[in-house]
Amino acid sequence: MPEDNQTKKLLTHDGNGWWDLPRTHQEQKDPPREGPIGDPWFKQAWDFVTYAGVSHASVRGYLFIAVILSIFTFLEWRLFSIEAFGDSGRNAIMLAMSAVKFTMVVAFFMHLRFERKYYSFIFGAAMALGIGVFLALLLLQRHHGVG
Amino acid sequence: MAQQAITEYHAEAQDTTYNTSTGLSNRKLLMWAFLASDVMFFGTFIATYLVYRNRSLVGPYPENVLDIPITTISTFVLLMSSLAMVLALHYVREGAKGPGRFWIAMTAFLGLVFIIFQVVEFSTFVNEGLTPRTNLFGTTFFILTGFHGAHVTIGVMWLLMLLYGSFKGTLRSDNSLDLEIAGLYWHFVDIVWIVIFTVVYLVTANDGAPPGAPPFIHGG
Repeated sequence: MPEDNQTKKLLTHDGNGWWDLPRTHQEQKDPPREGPIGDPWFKQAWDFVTYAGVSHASVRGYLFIAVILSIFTFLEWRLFSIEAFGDSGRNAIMLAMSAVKFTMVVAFFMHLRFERKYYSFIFGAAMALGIGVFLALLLLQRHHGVG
Repeated sequence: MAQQAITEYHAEAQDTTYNTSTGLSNRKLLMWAFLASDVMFFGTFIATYLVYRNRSLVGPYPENVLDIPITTISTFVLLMSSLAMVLALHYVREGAKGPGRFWIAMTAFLGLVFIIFQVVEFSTFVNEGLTPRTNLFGTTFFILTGFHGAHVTIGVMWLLMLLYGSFKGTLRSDNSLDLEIAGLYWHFVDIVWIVIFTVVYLVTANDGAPPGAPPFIHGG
């Protein structure tokens, strides 16, 4: 099988994209500036909490994710009783926080960030189809009514 | 030096290569395919709930029954069960039997607590006059959350079987894939609830009687 085979590329990490593992090894003391923000401290901090040196996050990484999930859930609950943003604004913020929680569980607890891309492809395709069905039903209801 | 470290690191991250057409574990692939189908399963139920939103002709309506503080607690419990699950897998992979068993048991326990929350919630709703036959809100709500509760129940039973297996020696670090697959299922149940909590509870909790429908009066 040639190296540039598209199927092989699909099934293996190629080092690109957010879903890939950090390219800086934790034993490398002074990583190059390659993070999205550019500051080494940010990249080091991010690797510290998300990378155990093996194909999953560290225990402290899992705890960090759990704390974020808890804070977001608490904020959603508090936001529910705040009327300053209006219904639409409040719903948009809550849905955004829900999306972040969803992504963090999928990426870290389900290890999709550390897995081969084939799994991400399967789940991503299903999500796209599921959201498509979801939106189609809502649009049908809006334009044609129900029952 | 750095390149060697990266290469070694990626070799670890590639996990075991299986003798299959994809090079991946067929069992794990099957679980992901199942979860993909479940995305559409729950996506349809959530969409149906929203399509029939504000279309109940009689009460109780969401604002009369949904209890956000209690549901926030049960959501937190389910999120923590996901943390317990991932810690269980971590320790089983490391061969630490005691912590592995503890976190599997903790995951099952937190799942059980969530189910109890749901049973209490359903009982309260029925006492307030909301059943699956009362109105469209009741039908779509009970079907959606009921199917989710069934998933959690199956997950708890699965975890208890794995816990039993850890004592019998059938769950070890060299076959932790059994627990990993159960973990995928468990985390999926968690992410479905993340969506339900926001879309069904938070977004629609203030929905009252639609135009033309009579307001709901407790005990009326």
